[in-house]
Amino acid sequence: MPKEPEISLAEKTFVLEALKQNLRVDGRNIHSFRDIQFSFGDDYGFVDVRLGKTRVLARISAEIIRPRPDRPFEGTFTISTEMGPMASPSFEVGRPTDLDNTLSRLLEKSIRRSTALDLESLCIVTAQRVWSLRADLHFLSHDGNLIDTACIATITALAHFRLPVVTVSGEDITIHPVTERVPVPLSLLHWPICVTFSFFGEDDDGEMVCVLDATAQEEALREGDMTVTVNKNGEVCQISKSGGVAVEAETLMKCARKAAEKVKGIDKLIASALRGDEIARNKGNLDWLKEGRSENER
Amino acid sequence: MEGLRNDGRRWNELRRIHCQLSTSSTNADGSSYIEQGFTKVLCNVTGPAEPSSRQKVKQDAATVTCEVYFAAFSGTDRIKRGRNDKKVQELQTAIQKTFASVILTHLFSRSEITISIHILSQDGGTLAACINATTLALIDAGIPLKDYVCACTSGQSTSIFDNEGSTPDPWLDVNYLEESDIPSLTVATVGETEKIVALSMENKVRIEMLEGMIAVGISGCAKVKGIMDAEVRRYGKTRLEAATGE
Amino acid sequence: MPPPTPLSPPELSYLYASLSLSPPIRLDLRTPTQFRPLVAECSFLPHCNGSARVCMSEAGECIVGIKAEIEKDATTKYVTVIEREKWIEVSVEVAGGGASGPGSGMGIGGISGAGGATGRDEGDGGAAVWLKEGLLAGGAGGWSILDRLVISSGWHWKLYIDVLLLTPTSHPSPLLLSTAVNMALDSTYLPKLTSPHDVDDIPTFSDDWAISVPLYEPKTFPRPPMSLPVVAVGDNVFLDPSVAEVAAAEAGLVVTLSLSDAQGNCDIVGVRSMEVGRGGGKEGDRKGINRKLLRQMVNACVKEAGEVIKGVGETTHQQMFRA
Repeated sequence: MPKEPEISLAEKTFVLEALKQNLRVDGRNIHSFRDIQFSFGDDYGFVDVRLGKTRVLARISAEIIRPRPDRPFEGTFTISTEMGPMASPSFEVGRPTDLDNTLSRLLEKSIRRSTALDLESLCIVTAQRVWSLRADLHFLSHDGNLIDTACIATITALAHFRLPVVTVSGEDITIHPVTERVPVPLSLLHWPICVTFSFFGEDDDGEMVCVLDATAQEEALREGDMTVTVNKNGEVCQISKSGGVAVEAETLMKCARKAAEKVKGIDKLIASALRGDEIARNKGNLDWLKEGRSENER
Repeated sequence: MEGLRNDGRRWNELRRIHCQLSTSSTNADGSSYIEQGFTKVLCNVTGPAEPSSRQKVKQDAATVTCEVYFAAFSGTDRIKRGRNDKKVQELQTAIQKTFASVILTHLFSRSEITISIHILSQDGGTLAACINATTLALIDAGIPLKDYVCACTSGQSTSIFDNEGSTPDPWLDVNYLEESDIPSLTVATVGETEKIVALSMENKVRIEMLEGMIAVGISGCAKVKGIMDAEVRRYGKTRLEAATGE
Repeated sequence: MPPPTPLSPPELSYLYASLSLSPPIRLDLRTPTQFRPLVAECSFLPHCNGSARVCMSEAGECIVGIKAEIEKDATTKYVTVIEREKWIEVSVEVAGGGASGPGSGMGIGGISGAGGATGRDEGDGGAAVWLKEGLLAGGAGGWSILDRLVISSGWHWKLYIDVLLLTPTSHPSPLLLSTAVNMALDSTYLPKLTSPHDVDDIPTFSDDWAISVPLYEPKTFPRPPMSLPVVAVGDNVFLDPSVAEVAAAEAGLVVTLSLSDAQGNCDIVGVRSMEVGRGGGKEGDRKGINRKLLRQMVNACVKEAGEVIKGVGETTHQQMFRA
């Protein structure tokens, strides 16, 4: 498995010294994210998120299956992440690295365990037919902070996705194509967003340097990291800090509050991107709007 | 009864902790056994030794590997977990990363330190018990550490309010029933510095409650450290007396 | 595969000579029928119906946990023997827990016994298989442990016996394993049935552990089995052989016995041959076991085993959570 090239001593010293003075190599503030850009596909549930040079693609697909016997009222939702050499030459298909495991674990905890998606709303016929959703994440480019990007991509894709309308009459289930009935959005209870902090030791004032949205270069040099998942309602969905430099509780709390603040901004960004896409879709095609009504004939 | 939890403890009381060093009769370099309430964890440490595979050789530091085994009989249901079980891998990564930063790995380049943990009984606070057991086993093996790593859990009950209608104090050291009921977190500190080396929370909680939970967790870690340190000193004294014949 | 020994040829030959003397001299000066001390405790796992932990100096540590779950019978009318045998599942997990030999570094053994009933795995030496066989062997008057697992019509207990071995040698010691399983079984309690016996619905049980039913009724026989290894060197027979003695021995057996009455008499439940090192001799030196020696070995076991098993049983009863 090819390893990442080691960072040279000169580069390392430069970056760390700059951080001690709260300066970053790309000129950003230590607490600011890179520009987040969204690009939606023609299908619902397909979104490409860019955070600087980091790029993650998320796609949501749905199929109807039999529910689990111990949970007959719930649909299922799985997230699949697989890192390949496209993202970075050090990733190999089929050989999950630490980052792979950490990422899938964090997404699992942030999105699935915090019940962002209401699984009961995916039920069609109790104990017989439910929707099974699947989020496939593709990592197209790795320049640091894959975790936050992947989470934003997944949440945006879920918010973007539309489920076909299903009508049940007795034993028969009819799935209506999009031309017949307007598909409905998923029932998302909240939007959990991951924010990862990287720790670099103490700066000139004696405080721990906590950097948001680290690039790949900064990630290779960091001494520790912590991922906090918050939603815009101020609920912390998960926190994970495994090892790395030991940090004061005060600093961690400051980071958590910062995360909550940032998430409000990111939430607005996602909402406006979705709105923009909605408008773009409906532009110049008002007939489609008239056709796709979910009312019955009177 | 007012103010008592389901096992009769108050909000800031730890469960009974019993720990032992050098429990293993096998060739492990260091071993320990810890009981926190009914959570029982056994830990064996081997190393520094030759790495088991070429990939694990690091030129400037030792590699820390962790393996966790859940006994099939450890929980209320009998479950046999494979090596690829998510929960197993989660625990392994968390412990490996925590100790990779606390062990003085730069002293043993090109070698491997293996931590092998057996969970015999689960009753809440599994990650915390594993971290504590690992610290003791590393001390027993004589592997140099920056300081003790002590871990403890704390939970916030959100449905019970006291007389003034404000949220009650967070509960220290939650057991299995409490863990399934209320949001809880595990925090691990280094020595007496109160600096956090590991923090893990998997439930939803309002950010205002977080500070309280972390503070209670840290105070619990300090208590755990006291207990572990007392046992290490007691054991050290017995060994010293046996060796010098006094 | 015989257990690997770090003994050199001169050491093996010395040991062989010392053990074939008359009277023989064992390296640790034990008598030929003396067992080594062991540390044992039971009923210490709260989630298990029965548990035990045994430590022997050379063989390592073994922890056994027994859990019982209710299961519906496969067919309500007539349950075949093969299906009944599935009511007990034994699984042995070997974890090195430390360096297991020179140059192997980590020595974390593989998890074995995954196909517990089939014993396909090499790692545990087929331990799961013979442990289960010993249990299933019937007692006097057609007694079988499987009868104790019947709850009501159509329902039975499924017993999971999980053995965790933390052992330095690559070959698990039968004495260690079977002592631990014996103690765990002896201290296993099943909840008392409160619903009627002949009804087909899901049975209900009492929450009160004070009236729970022991798997093996106290003071009834046969008791759970125990396997004793025995080796022969020359004309001498030795019980509880150490790893070095097994390397120097010419023949080895593992005899599984169970107490059949209060006086300490035992029934032989099974006999297996054990791989021995034959003093590091050449292929041509292997002569096989002669019949007289075989009888001697088995008799030695039967004579001494009674006391050993009774002793283990008494320890178990002292430590159990209730009398």
